[in-house]
Amino acid sequence: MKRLPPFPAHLRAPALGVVCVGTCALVTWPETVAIGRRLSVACAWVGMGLLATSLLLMVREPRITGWLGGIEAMYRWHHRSGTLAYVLVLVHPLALAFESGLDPGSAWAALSPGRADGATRLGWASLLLLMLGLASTFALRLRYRVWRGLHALLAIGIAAGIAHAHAAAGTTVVLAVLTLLCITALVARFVVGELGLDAHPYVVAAVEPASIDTVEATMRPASTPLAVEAGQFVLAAFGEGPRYRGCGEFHPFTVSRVGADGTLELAIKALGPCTSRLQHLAPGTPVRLQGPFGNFLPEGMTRPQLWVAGGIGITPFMAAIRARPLPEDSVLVYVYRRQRDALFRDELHAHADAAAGFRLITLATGESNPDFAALLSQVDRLAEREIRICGPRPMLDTLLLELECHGAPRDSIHFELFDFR
Amino acid sequence: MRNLFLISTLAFWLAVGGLWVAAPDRPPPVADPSPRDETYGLAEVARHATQEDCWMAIGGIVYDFTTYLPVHPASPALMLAWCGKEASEAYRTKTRGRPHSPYADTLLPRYRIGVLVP
Repeated sequence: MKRLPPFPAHLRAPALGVVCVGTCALVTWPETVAIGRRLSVACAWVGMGLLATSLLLMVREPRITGWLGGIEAMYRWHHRSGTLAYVLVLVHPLALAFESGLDPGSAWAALSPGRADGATRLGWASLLLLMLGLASTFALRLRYRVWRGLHALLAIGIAAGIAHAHAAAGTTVVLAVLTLLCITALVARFVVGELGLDAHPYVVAAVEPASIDTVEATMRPASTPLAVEAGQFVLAAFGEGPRYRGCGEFHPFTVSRVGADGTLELAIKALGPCTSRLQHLAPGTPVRLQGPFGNFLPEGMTRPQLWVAGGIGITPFMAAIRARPLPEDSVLVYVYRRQRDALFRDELHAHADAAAGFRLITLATGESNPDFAALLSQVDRLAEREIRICGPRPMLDTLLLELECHGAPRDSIHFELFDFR
Repeated sequence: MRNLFLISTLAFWLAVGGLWVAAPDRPPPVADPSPRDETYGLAEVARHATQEDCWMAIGGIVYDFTTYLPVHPASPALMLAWCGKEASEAYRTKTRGRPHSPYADTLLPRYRIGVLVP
């Protein structure tokens, strides 16, 4: 019997949303005659399904994230389902207010929080918390810790929304299942994930400066080592050591070397308060690692490669170069601001000199943007290459446009951003 | 997604603000407590105990909730159980110890059809 091909990994996260929403819509589809009521009830249940999806997609368990197409895909759909749910949650009270006609007096009487019962007040609380939490999500210049605190309001908003649904519609099987799903996701993320109950203990064995604002730390496993491959990343929380006091938060770091004895090396760039403090990391500091995550540079790549790294984005490529022979005909384009910012420069040049079929193109851009048109003109057979990009968002956006102009097929381009907000 | 958030939030507050401004200061007038009210006994109320014909007696007033039944916020089945009955206690407690909202009170007069007599 012929086996069906596996369901594509990148479609699994949206498929989860379709299942949640479809189940809610089918089981709870309102049979009421009033159009306003029908729209309102449908928006509420579909919104609840999307909120449950959004919560499930923030669980950071390596097997689950791997199955759902990676943590970046999950977060992308986490944002999309959360925002769509929010829009439906906004429609819900408005449709309810107009259920008995377009009379503003009746509509305001139904909507006004001042004259509402407990269930409606819970609904208002939920809506306002979701609004505030999402506003912080989309605020571009918020500091990470402030953003994190405000983003947690969304979880409280969802809890208030569930309480509102129980109070307004009574507890049904669908609502009980949705509640259980949401509680499971919240516990997995905030209790198991944030407290590191599933983390592997390591100890910092050595710390070396890698550039003016980056250190490379070697981590020795204190128990079972993680099965990490080159190109993957881990979430690390540094604790309190003899000569260093960590901030205890989990931050993502790409592994720059995987040792045969289970040791891992991480490149840590000073990007915020916690990672700036990590520049003074000392040996002996305990560290908890979660992961590994990602499949950016899978083994068995056979096509000619073009890798483009911006700044700290060189790390996964460095790990792959250190770990295994590269595919025949590989080109690495490495752009950075200044020479003193460049990581692993000597090691990369040494490898380019030694390895046939590996070409290194480096460019210090200064304060201007890299001229990708000029850089790409140095790369032959662009359309035949698999292209992998790791760097900041503005660089990626510019590069994607330039690659399109140079005729690179979109399905040959893979990228990693590490933007987990 | 950011633009969707901004546009939907703005539209929501415009709608809510518009309603607040357009709504009259006082709640909609209630039906006049006319002396011409019909009178019904519980036996008559009990004859209207189906989804298609649902009367209830609450606080000495008889209501015809047939058209309201499909739009009740909780499952219509909860309300259907009280059709044809004296439902004052159920209205006061929602069978879970919580009273209906002031907004629900303002809806009642729309469905009033008479007064209950012993």
